[in-house]
Amino acid sequence: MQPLKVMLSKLIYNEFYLERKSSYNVFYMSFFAISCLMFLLFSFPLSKITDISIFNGFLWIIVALSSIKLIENSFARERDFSIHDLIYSSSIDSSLIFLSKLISMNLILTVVQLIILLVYILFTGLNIDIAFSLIPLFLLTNFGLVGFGILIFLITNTTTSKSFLFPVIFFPIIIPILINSSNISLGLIVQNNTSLYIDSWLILLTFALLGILLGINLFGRLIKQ
Amino acid sequence: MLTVKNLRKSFSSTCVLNDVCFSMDVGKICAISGSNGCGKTTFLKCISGLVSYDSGSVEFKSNTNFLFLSDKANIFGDLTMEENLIVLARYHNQNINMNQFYDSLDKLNIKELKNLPLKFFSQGNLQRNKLLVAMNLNWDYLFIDEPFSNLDRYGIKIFKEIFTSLKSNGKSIIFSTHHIDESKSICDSMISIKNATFKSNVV
Repeated sequence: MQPLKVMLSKLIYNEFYLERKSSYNVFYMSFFAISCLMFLLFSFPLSKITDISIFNGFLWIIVALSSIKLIENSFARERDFSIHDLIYSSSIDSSLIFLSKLISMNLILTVVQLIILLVYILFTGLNIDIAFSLIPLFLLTNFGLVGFGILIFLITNTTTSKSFLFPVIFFPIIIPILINSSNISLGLIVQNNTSLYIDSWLILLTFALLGILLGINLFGRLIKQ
Repeated sequence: MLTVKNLRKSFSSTCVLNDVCFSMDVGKICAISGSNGCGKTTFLKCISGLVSYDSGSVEFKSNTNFLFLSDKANIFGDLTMEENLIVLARYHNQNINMNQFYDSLDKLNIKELKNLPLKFFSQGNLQRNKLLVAMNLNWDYLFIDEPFSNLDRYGIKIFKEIFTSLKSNGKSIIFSTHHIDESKSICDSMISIKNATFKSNVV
């Protein structure tokens, strides 16, 4: 197992390295996310801004949009100058490349989510401990979002299909993820009893596991034309 | 050894490769020629596993490493040559020998470009960068699409010298080309594709 772990860590490092060096990076995504948040903060009266349910809805809409951008950027880097053939002709297992993309995008999306949350906390004076309590939720949700996102992106970006189909198919599939994440995050912020949300946690876990397992099995086939 | 048996590939109703049989020993160079759209690149993609085929088989000796370089740039545009190579080496689970890397820069005459992001390179220098990748990664078979395109006479001369030196180290190269006369001097065999079938000529 050791060589696999080493290989996976090398690939994850590659993804972060490319994210840092690339013109398509997390900075633009965070900027986009904060712009959306500013729109919320400046377009609602003060009484509405502090209404956590409005922010909660906004947060997950921004997360869904950011995940689309993140997935598109990751593949655009490879396709802009056609390096994907050189990468995917290598002898390493393509499921490792999928896992490296999944883990790195998950962490990047978590950072974007925390940035949005911290900016909101800064404006509203909400307790900062909430940010820490939401991290496990972000990580679990992102596995489902990114896992399904990568697969749907590859299905909708072949030579015979149209790329606009990606968000069209992606959004309906992730709606259960967004609804349940939104329920849990609202519960965590208002500090409701966590046992009320066990069903939602299990649905998120199912999506995360499905995303990972389908990705491991299908990524190699989908990446080939 | 690479053995291709009864390979068939079609796109929609158009058959591009029909019942293709091909074999190649290690340490040989083979050129594939043919008119535009005849299936040269498709054949290279099929044997490197990038494109699935309808029927037939492609077999390598076990533990064979191969590298596919398409006719496009094959770069991460924001990276320099060194960074690009290091990232690719990680994808291929290999390490880069930096002395060998600097030697290759000298041989290809692109040392002065080493700090420039690849997206600013000319087409000819991008072609040289492809060979730089091939010189610094470990492989048994190299499949390269149109290696002589966009190169000046000096560039073609360098490429031919490097191909010959790689061959003398036991490496096998298959490339597609329209530069048939330029290729004859370095090839062990040449294949032309016509009507989706192979016509083989030993040079």
